Amino acid sequence: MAQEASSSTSSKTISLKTGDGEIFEIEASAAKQMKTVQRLIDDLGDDITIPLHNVFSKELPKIIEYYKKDITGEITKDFEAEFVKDLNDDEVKVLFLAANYLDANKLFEFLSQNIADRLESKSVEYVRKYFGVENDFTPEEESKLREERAWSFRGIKEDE
Amino acid sequence: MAAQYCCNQPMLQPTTTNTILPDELIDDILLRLPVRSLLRFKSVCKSWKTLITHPKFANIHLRSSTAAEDTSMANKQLIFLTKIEPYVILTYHLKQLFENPSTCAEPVISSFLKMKKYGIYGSCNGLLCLFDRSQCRLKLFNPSIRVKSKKSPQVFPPLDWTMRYYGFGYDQINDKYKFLVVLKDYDNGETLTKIYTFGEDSCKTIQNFPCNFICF
Repeated sequence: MAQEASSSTSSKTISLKTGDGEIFEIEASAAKQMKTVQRLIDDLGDDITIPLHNVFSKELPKIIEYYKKDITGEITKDFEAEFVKDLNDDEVKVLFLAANYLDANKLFEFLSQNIADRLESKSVEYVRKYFGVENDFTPEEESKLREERAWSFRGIKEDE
Repeated sequence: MAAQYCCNQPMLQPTTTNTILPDELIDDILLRLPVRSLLRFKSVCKSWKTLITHPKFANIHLRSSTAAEDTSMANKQLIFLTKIEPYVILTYHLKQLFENPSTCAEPVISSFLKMKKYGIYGSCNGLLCLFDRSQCRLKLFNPSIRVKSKKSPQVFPPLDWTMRYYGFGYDQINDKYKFLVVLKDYDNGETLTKIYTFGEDSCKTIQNFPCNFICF
């Protein structure tokens, strides 16, 4: 069934379906902020439930919450602080990946900075685990590196 | 009726024990870290060390940390050079000063041999331009990574000149840092303008440099 492009999208809602089969509603103006979603809308029409294979029901509501605030111009430092307050480091990482997939630039920038802020005082071991990176230095190489910049290893937070 | 849409993206598991981020996302995060954290994370693995120490990375990091949109002040510092014992450079992070104005800020202290002879004669892109007045030699120092350059050859002979004007800056076109000094001999009213280019160790005299002297 051919869909006509609707000329006014301001009050229209779009249905999004997550990779684990749940459906969420979002205003069309908020969907516009997520370029991947907008591209899918352009291809499939806005009356169809848009499938998002790589985003799941745990993350999408949070993302929708962010952009709901964004379209009313209400995103403040306080809102952003509150937004990430109860997320642990792994949850932020998954949200960040989802923002990247959705090409949601504003959320992407915010979460990237938030992850950087969280990692700023963390230990080298924590960062390795966080990014799943293997240590390919020999013990001698590693201790030499630490010695050279010993002053930058002070004031590190304890790993949780 | 929902249309079938073929998506070429790889399927992510809904609950992962450890979500792995692709390299370009890791790079985006790394560029937002302050220098001190980056120095430490050189030890994460060899590819991170190569990335972090690459001049291109340093350039992008500098540009994004000095961009107008960066309000985090993560890399902004206030720097003092003490003129009495102990002769050290004190670095205060602006972020701490603004966030906790009522607490006593802890400076990061850096020092090197013969620091006593130097004064700070300019800063640009995180580099301090130090000048030894007695020998008329310059030295660059980066307090964020605590690396200093060798001292320059004599910039001008230490005759009875007064340093009327001086400035340190970055020549974007030639990718070189330069120090300009206007010297005045108050006995005969002569002026001499010299420009020293770091890296080339070259010192040029500039003829007819326009400088209006205000006489008090």
